[in-house]
Amino acid sequence: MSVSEKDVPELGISEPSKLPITRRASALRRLDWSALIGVAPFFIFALVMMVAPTVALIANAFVDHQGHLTFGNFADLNTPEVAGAFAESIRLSAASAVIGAVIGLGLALTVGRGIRSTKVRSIVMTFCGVASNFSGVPLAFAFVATLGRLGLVTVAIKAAFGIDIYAAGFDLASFWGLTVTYLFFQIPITITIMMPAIDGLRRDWCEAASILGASSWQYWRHIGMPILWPSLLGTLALLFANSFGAIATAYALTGYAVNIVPIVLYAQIRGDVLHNESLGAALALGMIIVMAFANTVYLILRTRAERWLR
Amino acid sequence: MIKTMHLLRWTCLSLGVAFFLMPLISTAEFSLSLRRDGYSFDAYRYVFADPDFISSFSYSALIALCTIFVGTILVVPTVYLVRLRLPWLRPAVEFIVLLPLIVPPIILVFGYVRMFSSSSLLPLTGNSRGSDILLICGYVTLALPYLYRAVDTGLQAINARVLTEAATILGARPITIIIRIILPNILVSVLSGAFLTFAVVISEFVMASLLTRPAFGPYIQRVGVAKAYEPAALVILSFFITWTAMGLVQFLARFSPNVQRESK
Amino acid sequence: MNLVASSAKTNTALHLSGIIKRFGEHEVVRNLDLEVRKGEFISVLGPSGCGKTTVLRMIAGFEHPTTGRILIDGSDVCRLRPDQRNLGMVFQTYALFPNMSVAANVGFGLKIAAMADRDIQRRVAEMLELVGLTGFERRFPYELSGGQQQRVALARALATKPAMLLLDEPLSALDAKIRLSLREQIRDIQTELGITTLFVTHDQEEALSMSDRVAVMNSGRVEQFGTPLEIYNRPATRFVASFVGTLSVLKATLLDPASGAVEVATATLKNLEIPQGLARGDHISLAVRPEAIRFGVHKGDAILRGKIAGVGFYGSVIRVRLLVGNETITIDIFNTPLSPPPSRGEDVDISIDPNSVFVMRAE
Repeated sequence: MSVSEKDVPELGISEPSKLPITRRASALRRLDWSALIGVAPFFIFALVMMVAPTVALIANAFVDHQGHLTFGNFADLNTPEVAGAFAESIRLSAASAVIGAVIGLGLALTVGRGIRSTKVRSIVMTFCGVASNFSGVPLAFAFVATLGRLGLVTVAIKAAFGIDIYAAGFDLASFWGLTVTYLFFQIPITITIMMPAIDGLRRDWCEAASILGASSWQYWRHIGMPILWPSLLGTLALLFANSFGAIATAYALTGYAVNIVPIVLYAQIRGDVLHNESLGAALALGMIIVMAFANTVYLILRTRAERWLR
Repeated sequence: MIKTMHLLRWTCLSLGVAFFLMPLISTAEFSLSLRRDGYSFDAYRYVFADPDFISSFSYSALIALCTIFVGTILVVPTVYLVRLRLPWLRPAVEFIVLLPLIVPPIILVFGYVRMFSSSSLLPLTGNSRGSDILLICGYVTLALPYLYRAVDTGLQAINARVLTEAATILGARPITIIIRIILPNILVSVLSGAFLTFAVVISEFVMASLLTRPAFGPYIQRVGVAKAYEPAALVILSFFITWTAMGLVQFLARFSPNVQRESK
Repeated sequence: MNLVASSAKTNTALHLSGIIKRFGEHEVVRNLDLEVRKGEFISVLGPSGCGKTTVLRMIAGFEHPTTGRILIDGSDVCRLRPDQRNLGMVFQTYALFPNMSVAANVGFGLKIAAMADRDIQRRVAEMLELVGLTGFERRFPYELSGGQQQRVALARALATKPAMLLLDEPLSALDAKIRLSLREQIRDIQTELGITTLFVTHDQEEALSMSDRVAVMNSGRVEQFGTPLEIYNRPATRFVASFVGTLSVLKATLLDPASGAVEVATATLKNLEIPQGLARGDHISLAVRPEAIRFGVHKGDAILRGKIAGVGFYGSVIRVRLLVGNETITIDIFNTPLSPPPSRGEDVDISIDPNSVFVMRAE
C-alpha cells in the first residue's frame, strides 16, 4: 500500500514523520464503518455480558482473601474433596458419553438406514430435539417415577419376575443411576449429530464398493465406519463436555450425594459449605479448561470430517 | 439373511423406544394417580388452579419472549453484515458463539453474581428489575449458538449475497434490502430459533434459581419438594410444551425457502 | 493388453432377453432385447426417464428385472449379487471413497480380492499410467478436479480386470472441454484393452462419436440398435430421427404415393420414398438433415425457394435459417473463407436430394 503523490501534494520524502499518519488514515477510511456500527451491539453484548463476567471470575481465581496475587487457590483444589469431584465428574462424563455414543450410533443407524418413511424420521428427530433439552427437575422426577424405589418399572419387575433391583444393589440416586438418567439426553444428542453424517453416506459409495466385490461388512469396515469415525469422536467430545457442565439433573436427582464438580461449585455460590469465593473461581477455571479442551477436540474432528466430504 | 437384519432392526428400535417412553409413561401414570380409587386429572386441576403456576409460567414466557426479541435483534444484523461486508470478523463471531458451550450456565451466573453485585459499578443483582435484565442476558447467551446457527444456515440457503446484489442493482438501499428481502426469507429460520429458545428458557432452572427469579424452573423444583403428584403433572406439561415448540421447528423446516445454487 | 478371455464359448458378452421392469404400476422397461458382442463399445442413448439407467443397474445387479433374463458371457446372472458379477462400473457422481487416497481407491477391488500388497501396488501404478494420473497416488478425492476424479474412477473400475465395463452418464457432471478430452481418452483406453463396454448417455454427440453401435431408447423400449451411421442416416422411427441430430421439418401433402410426389408450399417434389399406409391427400412431414440441403439449383434434386431469416456463425459450420412458405428450416453449410455466407433477406433456391428426405406421418 503506497501513498500516492495526490494524497500528499507538498510533502516529499524529506518529511517522513507525516507519512505514517496519512497511511493510517487511509487504512481507517477503508473500513466499512456503517457495517461495523451495525454489528457493534452484538460485540458490546458479548464483551459486557459474556467475556467480562467470565474473565472477572477467572481473575478471582488468582487472588486470595486479602486481594493479593496467589496460586494458593489451585493448591486448595488438591483437597480430596475437590480432586475427588473432578475425578468423579470425569468418570461420569466419560461413562455417559461412551454409552450414549454407542447406543445413539446404533439407534441412528437403525433409523437412518432402515426407516424410509419421512414421517417416522421426522417424529424421531423432533423427539430427539425435545429429549436433548429435557433435563433438570423434570427429568429427575421422570426417572424417579420409573426406576425409583416405588417406580413403575421397579414395581413391574418385582411383580413379573420377583426381582427387587434395589435389594440387588441398584440405587437411582447413585453414580450409575445418574449415568442412566443422563443417557436420556445424551443418546438423542448423538442421534441428532450422527443422523446427517449417516445420511451423508452416499448410496453410490455403497454401490461402488459392491461392484468392486465388497460384502456389506467389508463396506462398513473399510468405508462406512471410517467416514463416520470423526463425527463419532466429535460427538463423544461434545457429550463429555455436555455432561461435565450439567448440574440441574444431578442436583435434582442426587442432591449432594454424588460428588461432582458442578455440585461443588453450586455449593460455593450458594455459600452452603465453605463460602470461599476464590476457591469457587479456581473450580470454575478448572471446569472451563476441561470444557474448552473437549469442545476444541469436537471442532477439530468436525472440520476434518467436513473437509473429506466436500 | 434380510429377515434377520429386519428383526434386529425392529428389536433395537423397540428397545430404544421403550427406554425413552418408559419415563414418560411412568410419570404420566403417576400424575393420574392422585385419587386412590382410580385415575383422574385431579393433579392437573390442582396445578392449573395454583396461582403460583400461572404467575411463574407467565413470567418465564415473558422472559422467553424478551430473550427471543433481544437475541434476534443482536444476531440477525450481525450475521447478515458479517456475511456480506465484514467477512474478516467471522472467526471472532464464531468464537463468541462458541463461548456459551465452553462456559456452562452455572459459571456464567456465578460471574454475573460477582460482577453485578451491590458493591460494583452496575448493581443489578440488588433489585428485581436488574436481576430480570441479568436473567434475560444470561438466556440470550444460552440461546446464542442456536439462534446463530439457525440464521446463518437460513442466510446461506437463500444465498443472501446474490439477492443483495440483485436488489442493489435495482436501486434498493441497505435498510430496505434487510427489511423487505432478507428478513421475510429468513423468517422461517428466525422462528425456528425462536421456538428452540422458548423451549430452553421455559424449563431452565440453574440461572433462574441462582438469580432468585420467580421462573417456571424453580417453581417446578419447589413443587417437586413439597407435593407428590402435582410435580408429575408439571413434568408432563413441560414435556408437551417443549414437544409443541420442537414440533413447530420441524414443521417450519418444510417451508424454508431454498434458492437454487449456481452450478460450479 | 487384451483383457478378453480367450476360453469363452460364444462371442456374445451380454444378452438381455425379454426384460420387463415395473416399479409398482409404472412400466419403466418394456420387453427389451439386446445382444452385445465381445469387445464392443455400445452406447445406450435416450432422454431422461427412458429407462436406460435402469437397464444398466439391472445388469450391475442393483435392480432385478420383473421378468426376463440377463446373460453375461453365456451364464444367467440373476442369482448373483453385484459383488459377485465381476463387472466394472463408473458412476455419474464418481463415487470415489472420500476417506481413501487415490491409490487406495484404485486398489480397493484388488484388496477385497485378497491380492498381495506388492501386486496391488504394481497394478495401481499400471492403471494410473493408463489414465494419465501417475504421481497422484497420495492425493485425496477432495483435492482433485471433476475430470481427475472420473479418471480415478475409471482406473478403479478397470483395476480388477472385469468382464464388462458399465458407465452411467460419466461425463454429464463435467465441463464441456473436459468432457471432450475425456471422451477420446475413454474410447482409446477401451480400444487398447478390448473390454466390452456399455455407455449410458443422453448426449447424442457422445454416443455417435464413441460407439461401435448405439441403442436408442425411448419410454422403456429400444427403438433402434445400429451403428452410428445407420442411426443417423437411416433412422427407423420418428423419435430416432428427431432425437439424434437435428432435423429440418416441412409440412406437405401427399399427391401420389406411387411416384413419390408431394406438394410442399407451392412446389411439387418427386421421387421421394413414401412409407406404407399413406394415401393421396394425406398430411405428411418431410424431414431432412441440415447438411443434406444445398444452396443453388442441382439437377435431379428437389428444388425449393425461400427467404433467409437468419445466419448463425458456429465456427466451422454456418447455420442458416430459411423461410419456406411460412415454415422455417435449418441449413448447415461449411464455413469456407472463399465464398461469403448468404445474407439476411436474400431470396435463394435450395436443392434437396430426394434420397435423404424422411417422409413421416404428420403429427
